[in-house]
This record gives sequence, C-alpha cells and structure tokens, in this order.
Amino acid sequence: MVPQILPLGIDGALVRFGTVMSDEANQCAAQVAQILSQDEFGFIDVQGTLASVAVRFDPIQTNFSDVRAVITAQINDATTAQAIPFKQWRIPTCFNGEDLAEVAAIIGDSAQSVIDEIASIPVRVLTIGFAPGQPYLGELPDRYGIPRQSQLRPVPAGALVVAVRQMVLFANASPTGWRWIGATAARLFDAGRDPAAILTAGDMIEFCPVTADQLAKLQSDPIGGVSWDWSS
Amino acid sequence: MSGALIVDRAGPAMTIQDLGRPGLLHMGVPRGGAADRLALCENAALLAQSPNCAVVEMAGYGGVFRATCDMAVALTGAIMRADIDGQPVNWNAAHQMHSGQILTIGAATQGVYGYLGVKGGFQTPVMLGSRAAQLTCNIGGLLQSGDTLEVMPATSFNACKLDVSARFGGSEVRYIAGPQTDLFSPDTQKSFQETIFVRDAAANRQGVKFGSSGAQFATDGQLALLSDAITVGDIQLTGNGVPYVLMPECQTIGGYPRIGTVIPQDMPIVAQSAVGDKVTFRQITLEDAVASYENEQAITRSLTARVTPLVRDPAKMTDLLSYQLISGMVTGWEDA
Repeated sequence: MVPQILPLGIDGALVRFGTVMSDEANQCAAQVAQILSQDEFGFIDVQGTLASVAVRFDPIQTNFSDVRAVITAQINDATTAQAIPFKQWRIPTCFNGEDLAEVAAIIGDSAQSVIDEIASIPVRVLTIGFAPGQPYLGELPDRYGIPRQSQLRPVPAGALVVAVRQMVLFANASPTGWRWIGATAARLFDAGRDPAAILTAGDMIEFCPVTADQLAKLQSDPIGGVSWDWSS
Repeated sequence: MSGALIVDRAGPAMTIQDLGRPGLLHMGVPRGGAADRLALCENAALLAQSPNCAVVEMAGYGGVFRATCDMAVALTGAIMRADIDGQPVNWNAAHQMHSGQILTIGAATQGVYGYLGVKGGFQTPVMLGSRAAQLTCNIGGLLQSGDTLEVMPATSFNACKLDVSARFGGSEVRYIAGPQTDLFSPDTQKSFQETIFVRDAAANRQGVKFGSSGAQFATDGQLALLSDAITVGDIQLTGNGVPYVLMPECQTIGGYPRIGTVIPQDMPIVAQSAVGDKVTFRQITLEDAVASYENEQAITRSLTARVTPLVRDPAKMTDLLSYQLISGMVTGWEDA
C-alpha cells in the first residue's frame, strides 16, 4: 500500500494508509510503526493508529521533507521485508458482562456461541488510545457490526466491550456506549512499572474464558494473569 | 542539606509541571507539561536554569507557600497578586525568600496559568521521565494544602526581572494546514479565518473551547471520520462545528475533523486567553511556521540575556503605582 505522507504540526508527519478502516491499512500501519520506532531513525514518537502512523521529530534538527524521504525509503524496503514479530497475548476473561445476552440477541445466536466465537478469534491491537495503554481490537466478523449506543453507561477497569466489529479493553473505569461482554484483571497501564503499558499496536490477543472465581483470584496478580509469546 | 516549600494553602488547580514526557504517544500518553511553555522558559531564565526544571502551575488562583530554608523563587505567566510576608513583590521577577517567610499568591488579574519556580526546580518524584502531573494518566495529582515540595537551598540571590512578550487578552493565533484541512471547503476555511471567536468557559489542560455568534464550521460526513492521530494545537471541530484547541493533556487519537494546528509559538496566547477574550485564527505556511520556531532551550537562552537586576530605585514610579493599584497598600518595595 502506498501511503500519503502529510505534515502534522510543525514537528510531525502523518503516514496515512487509508481514511477508512481496513485490515490491510491497519497491518501496514502497525508494521511501518514497528520499523520507524527503531532507534536508528531518532524519531521522538512513533504512534501507530487505526490506518496511519504519526511520527514526531525535532524541527530544529530536521524538517518535514527530509523526514518524508526517510519514511518513503523505509516503506519501499518494508514491502519486501519479512513480517516483523509481534507479541501474542493471552488474557484470562470472564464472559459475564451485563450486555452479553443483548449482544447474543442482536446477532441472533446464543450467549455461549458468542463466547466460543470471541474466544476463538485472535484479534489485533489496532491502536492504543483514548486512555493510556488502552487497546482498540479487531476486526470481528461482520455480524458484530453492532452500533454504539447513544446512552453511555459506566464499566469497570478491565471491561471488554464490543461495537462496530471492534472491541475495547478498558484500562480504567469509564463511561461507554459500547456493549459490555466480559471482565478481565488485565493491568494495561501503570506509570510506576517498566514498561508502563504492556500492549503495542500490531500485537495479537486471545481472550481465554475463565470462571468468576478464577478471575477473582487473578485480581491480585501484578498484571492480571496476562501472558505472552512472540509470534513465529 | 535540603529544605522545602510547604503548601500551607493550595489553590483549586495547582500541579507540578515541566516540559512533559515526549515519546510515549504509542502508549496513549500525551506529552503533557506546562500549558504555557513560554512562561516556563521565562521562569527558567529568571533563575538561570533549564526550562525543564519543575515548577508549580497555578490555574486561575495561587496559594500560600512557606519556606523552610533560604531559596530563590520566580513568578511568571498569568499576572497574579503576590507578596512575601505582606510586602508586595513584582511578577515576571525572581526574589530571595528566607527561611520562615511566607509567599502568598492570589487570583490571576490577567491570563490563566501562573507559574512559581524555585532555583534548582522542585525535587518531586520523576515518573516516566518527567515530574509533570498528568491527571488523565493517573500520574501525580493536584497539589493539596500541607504538601511539602523539596527544594535546593539558595542564599544571596539577587532579585531580577524580565520584560515579557504580551500574550494576554487574546489576539491573532496562527495555524498551519493539517491532514484534514481539505475536508473543509475553501469557503468554510475563509469564513473560519474571518470569524472573531470568544474564549468559552469550557477550558482545561485537555482543550480550550471558542464560541462565535456566526457560522459553524462543519465538514461533510463529519461523524463518519476514522479516528486518527491528534496533536497539541490541533483545532478540532466537534459535532456542531464549534472549535476546540487541543492542549498538552489532549488524547492521542480522536475522530473529530481538524481544520489545522496552532503553531507552538502562539499556543501561549491560547493557554492564557481568559473567558470572553477575543481570538482570530490565521493560516500560515509550514515554511513560515518553521522559520520562526525556536525550541525551549533556545528561547530560554535568549531570555536569560534580557534578565535585569531588580533594584530599589525610587525613580521607578510606575512600579510604585502598580503596587498601590494591585494591593491598595502604599507599603513600598519588596525585599530586594
């Protein structure tokens, strides 16, 4: 995919693979973000979003034209490069969210089928945002294209919610218009921990079903029973 | 041997700030840092130190601070009433405080964000490379009455002052085009730049809202935009076409269209605009914006060269008059 590269403030460039969500644009963004985050490029920030990568640089040291040239060269190389490894996470999840039955009703299936399906689909971290360390995840099959609700309701930290073929795993208690299907003990962000955030755009996540009792025990675990491996 | 500045009484929105924590956008952590970075540079220049030294940022109102050792303090940003042990002291100036003295800082009379710095910077804990409070990330918090802020002692400090560039009361704010500027029709862009906006009451360290009585500034298909990277200074048009300028603690991604990005040089005008101040926006080129840009270190260096001694000079009647106007007292000079 050939992206547009546009100024983003006087100290930034936006590498845009699309203006609508697509799996291909998101994968390209995650891969290019991973490449450009390497120290050798010296960018201040490299941020992968749903379909773009934003980089920040020091406008005293360099300028947009030079940065665009560096990025263009890397993107040309990336098309022939091997896939970069990302982390594959397993997050213990109790599928007891208050909206699970409603989600099942909307898509015309049983709650157990929804649990089985969500638990069997590894989802990609599409981007991190809204709150520190908080992932947008997807994409789910078409039938999960559930609209957001206009009425917001509170969900606790660790809540797994679904809408518009995506899921969000909440880092903090928050109001949301997405539907709440599960609970986790995942500690996504802690400013006193290194690294402060555990997930990166491009990582893959599996939500593994556990009982409410098992989840309660995981609440005392430093990262909530979350584990990971490199992708092969 | 270190000492401290004790917060005897905290204003409602005081935090520790510095230049923030760049490099964490991929974690969803904005850069943060002082709302008026120029005032941070001015504070550093008065104390002859780095602009990354931690200061107390005071939104709208100050507090009462007690020194437990001799120290040098600098006051910059929004103009606030200030005195040491009842003796009024100049703003945009740095002063010696002696152990046991009390610094009282009142309400802002111009601007929004005032800054209290000390020689050496406040020695509060560093988290993720910065001392800045970031309330949206649960990093640090509002300063509370009774808090103890560790400082480095400083004796024999010669009081000094700095003439600062005007930034209060609103004015023209320059911006450059961004990735979404073309979503707005040329007519809308023109009318946006011809509109006089009024700073709304809705404002904090995440964003500042500007109202207008005139047209609204919407794009086609506004609600269908894909969330994308957003940055400090972005002029975001919300659902009903009302602009918000994004501030240091803005989120890192967002789905509202942005007509452009305010240049860093003019962000102090946005930050210090008070409710009712009038602001207009004018688009300039990226080249022009970069040509006049200096980073905080360079700004601080050139400001340092303009710092002058603050002396007891009876000929300076303007200062004397300002004391009378501000405090209603005729007691004269701060302890220089």
